[in-house]
Amino acid sequence: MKNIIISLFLFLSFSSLGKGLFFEKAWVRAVPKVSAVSAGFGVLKNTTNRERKLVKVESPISEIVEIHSMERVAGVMKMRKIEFLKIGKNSSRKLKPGSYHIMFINLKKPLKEGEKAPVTLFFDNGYKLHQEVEIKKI
Amino acid sequence: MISPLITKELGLKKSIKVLLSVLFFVGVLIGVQKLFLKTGTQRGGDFELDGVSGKVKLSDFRGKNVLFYLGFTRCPDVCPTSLSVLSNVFEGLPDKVKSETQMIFISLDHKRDTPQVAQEYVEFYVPSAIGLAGSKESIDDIAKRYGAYYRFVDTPESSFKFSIDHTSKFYLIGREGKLLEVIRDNEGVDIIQKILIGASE
Repeated sequence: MKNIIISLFLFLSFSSLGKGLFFEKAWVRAVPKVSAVSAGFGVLKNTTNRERKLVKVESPISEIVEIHSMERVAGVMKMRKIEFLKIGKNSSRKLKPGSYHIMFINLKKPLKEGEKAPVTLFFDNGYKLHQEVEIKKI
Repeated sequence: MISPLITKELGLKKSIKVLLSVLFFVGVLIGVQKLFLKTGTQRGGDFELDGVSGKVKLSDFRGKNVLFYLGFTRCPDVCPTSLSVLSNVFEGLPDKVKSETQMIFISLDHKRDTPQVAQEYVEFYVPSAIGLAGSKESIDDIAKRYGAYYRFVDTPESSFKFSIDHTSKFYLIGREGKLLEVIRDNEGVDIIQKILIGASE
């Protein structure tokens, strides 16, 4: 009986793991061989009841990974590094061309379409999300 | 104690200073206005930059339409997005129009990009395109004459020591070398194709 209760408890706690932080529809841009940089996009989803911040991203594809914002001001595109990216509770944040993106600086090897880039996202609560992200030529 | 004579003299000096600065300001205003009138009357014109096999002039392509874009190879987002649009545009063009339209990528990053880098960069998107680079003076001149804007921005917080804020547009030059149209970078592929087809008719 005790075992059943424990398994039931375990089952319930695992099913509640559906709540959390996700990086969906993620992709990294395939870029020319001479290009030292590329960018990563996707939808950061937060299904918890707390606001979360993406604070760091790591990847073996480049020497440096930063979180950047992008803004069009009077027709001029301005890109800046940001320290974190907020994802409100029960909401999502889109990283897309012309907006927020993950910036890969000093690529270690060419990014080829069809291959995958390992990416690890770090959140302010210590949660780490590892993902193999598709490389696409768009 | 300051004597009244000295204060009077000081007052006079002050008004001369004010007068001089007003005159200077008016002069600057006139200068700025003249500059704008000059660039406002006729946009465009020939330019010469460096390509992989030597100097390249816009006028070398007389008889063809030229579509050029100003960007830089360390541009992670805007330039690849815009060039991807062009990639789709060129892939879908009728062969005749494709052969009559020369795409040129001009690097704004006169500090880091070489003609080789610019060439390899643009070929990835549009294989028939050419990549050009140039000195600060020649890039400034093109930006001014075509109404483009760019500025190096120090970004010490980023490992990119500097980035470039810039306008992102496609400039269409006709067979005779005249600026026909400035196209938004987020314009639809089909609309840009129509414009290019129209220009080569």
